[in-house]
Amino acid sequence: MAIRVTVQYFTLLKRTIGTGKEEYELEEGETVADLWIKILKKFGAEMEKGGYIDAVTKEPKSIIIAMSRIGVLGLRHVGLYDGLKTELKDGDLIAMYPPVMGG
Amino acid sequence: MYGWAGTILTIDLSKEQIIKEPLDMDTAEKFLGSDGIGVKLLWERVPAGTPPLDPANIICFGSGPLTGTFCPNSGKMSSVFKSPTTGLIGVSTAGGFFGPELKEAGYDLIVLMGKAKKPVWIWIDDDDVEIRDAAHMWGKTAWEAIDIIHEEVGDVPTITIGPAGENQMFGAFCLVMRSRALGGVGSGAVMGSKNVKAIGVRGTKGVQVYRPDEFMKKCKEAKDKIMSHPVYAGFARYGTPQWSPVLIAQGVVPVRNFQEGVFPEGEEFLDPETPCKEVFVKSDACEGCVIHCGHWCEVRSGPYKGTKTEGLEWYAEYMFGPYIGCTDWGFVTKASVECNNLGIGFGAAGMIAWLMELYQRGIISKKDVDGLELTWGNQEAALEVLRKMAYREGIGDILAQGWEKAAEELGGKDFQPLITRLITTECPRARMDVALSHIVSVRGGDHNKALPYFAWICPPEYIHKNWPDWPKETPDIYNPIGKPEIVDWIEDWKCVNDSLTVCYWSTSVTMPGGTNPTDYAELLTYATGVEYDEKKLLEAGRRIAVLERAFNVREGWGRDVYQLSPMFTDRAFPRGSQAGVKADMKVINEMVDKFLERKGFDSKTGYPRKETLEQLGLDFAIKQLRKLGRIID
Repeated sequence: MAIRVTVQYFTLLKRTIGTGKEEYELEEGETVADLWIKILKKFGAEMEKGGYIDAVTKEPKSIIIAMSRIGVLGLRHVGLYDGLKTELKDGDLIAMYPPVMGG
Repeated sequence: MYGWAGTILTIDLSKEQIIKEPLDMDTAEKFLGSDGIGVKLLWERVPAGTPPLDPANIICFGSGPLTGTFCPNSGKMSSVFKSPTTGLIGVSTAGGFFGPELKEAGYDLIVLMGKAKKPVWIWIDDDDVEIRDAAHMWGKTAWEAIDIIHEEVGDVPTITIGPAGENQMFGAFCLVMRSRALGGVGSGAVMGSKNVKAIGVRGTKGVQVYRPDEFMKKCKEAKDKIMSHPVYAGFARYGTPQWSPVLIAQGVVPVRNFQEGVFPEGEEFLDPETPCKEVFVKSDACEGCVIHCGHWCEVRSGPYKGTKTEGLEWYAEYMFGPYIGCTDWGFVTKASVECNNLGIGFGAAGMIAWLMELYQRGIISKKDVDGLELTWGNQEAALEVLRKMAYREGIGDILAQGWEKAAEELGGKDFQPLITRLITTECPRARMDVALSHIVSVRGGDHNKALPYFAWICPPEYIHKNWPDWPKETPDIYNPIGKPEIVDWIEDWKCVNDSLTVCYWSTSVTMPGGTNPTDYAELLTYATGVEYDEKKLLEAGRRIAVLERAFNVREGWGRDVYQLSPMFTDRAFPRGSQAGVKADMKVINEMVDKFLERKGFDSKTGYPRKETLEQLGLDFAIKQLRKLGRIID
């Protein structure tokens, strides 16, 4: 069964790739890593030029991938814990941005 | 004298005396500067139980041993007093140019004590200090008062209060220059209670450093660290509004007084690119800052077209945006200018959102609020409430007395978004880092004293490498494990930041891998000639943090002061990723207990342990606390 997730890009990353928000259709069971591959196909060159991905591994570097969701383990911060292995669910909102501070 | 200026300037307003005292070097070494020396003076000079607006309260404005030097981001200042907003210790910091100018005039701190018989302002021109008549500027807005001062003595850095401060409104702030503020906890009301409208300073003496060559080399190294950090570029372009993605991703945007955590109608408003397009003109920096997170702003279209200000930042964005259901940067700019002119802290302005919720729920009606239509997003009504608060008219007079009194008059106490007596913009329901850092904050529950920003933007390996004793769960913001450890550390380090004084946007509070305690220990050693290392510097931070908490205990606040509003424990966001989540006080109280014990305080009473004070050289506090029965022997 297909699921749909929303990816929102912010601040300098948004400027680098020229897109603020898009939706992706994925297969059930696909992870943030699978999503990342799809994103790389579209924006890999721009992200590499902007220094947002590791030139060798193509993994995200200097990008926070943030998603909060209530689950059996409580809320988890994807960028820090389950990371790219996190399985996506229909309706998830994934935010991507360079490290930010404020408040 | 190196690093420090060497003089504390005390102005006894009641006796119209100006007293210059040499800075005690033992105090300077142990309490560093501004915040630290200020809290020691507060302890020594203000009798226990003094009401915040009594002439016996003092207010200190200070710089630190790195202020006015080439140390990057060292242009800040802070103020210390007993707060009329919370009854707790009042500690506020501000950027701008006042702190460095004060230092260059030859003073580490100014202490205002007593009460002037009539409105006055203080003019400091290097060694010459005058108490001048302020009858001609009393009743004026802060910006009008600044214009008058500039007319009289030239374009100098100022601290002023607006009508809100004059009228001792509970959350009035001191405005530093035109748009920086010693905000949050009522510094302006204390100034007003002393009949002091303003302070202006001109300093031409410079600051001496002990080992200039090594100091300059280290400054360059620190500057390079800050400017090559991945946080830097976004900060430089967007300033603090770049924070929004974090709250969007976590589903905790404080919408309509925290009724919602998502704000779809405000998606464009919250995009940090939007203020760049709509109001930002160019970047601006405090003295010595390499980040330049501030901006010159001008509203380009709409009803507030032409409104100008500087320094517009995240707190204003949220208080005049989602908090009250608005999505207009022109309005945010206008409301900020009003707050600056009237001298109202943005936190106190958060009362508007509370009023709007009471109005929505029918707890109050038009007749209770002078006929105002307090519907969500009503910009004109919001501006009118601000004006009424400053001049204490009608509903404004009720609000100006503070959260507690206003709830007694209007009802709706359970809808006040307070943590430990202070308004919050961060949601403590699920985020354990927010819940603990806010609830134990000595100045009341906001983000300024101990929020561990860096915990969740850096790889866990960074934390594990630097703090191997901390639990591996520390970076997980939704897990209580590790939070007492990190909040304890951050609180000490933040006290160092506020005492040196360096901006915590540039230090490892917020920049993992950025400038760290070792860097500042070296800078301090080179600047002052007094040897510091990381351990000694952090111990000074701990000494300050413990004395601040002990001050609150002395003033009557024990373990029961650490509280969350029922709006966080009894209600939840209806949608978004945190839908249904309520704050769990059992979990939070366990964290608070552990934090207090780590800090050397008894978790049952909240009182300090005698050995904690002894170990930190705070023996002078023991006698008073023992007399009051608020110490654990």
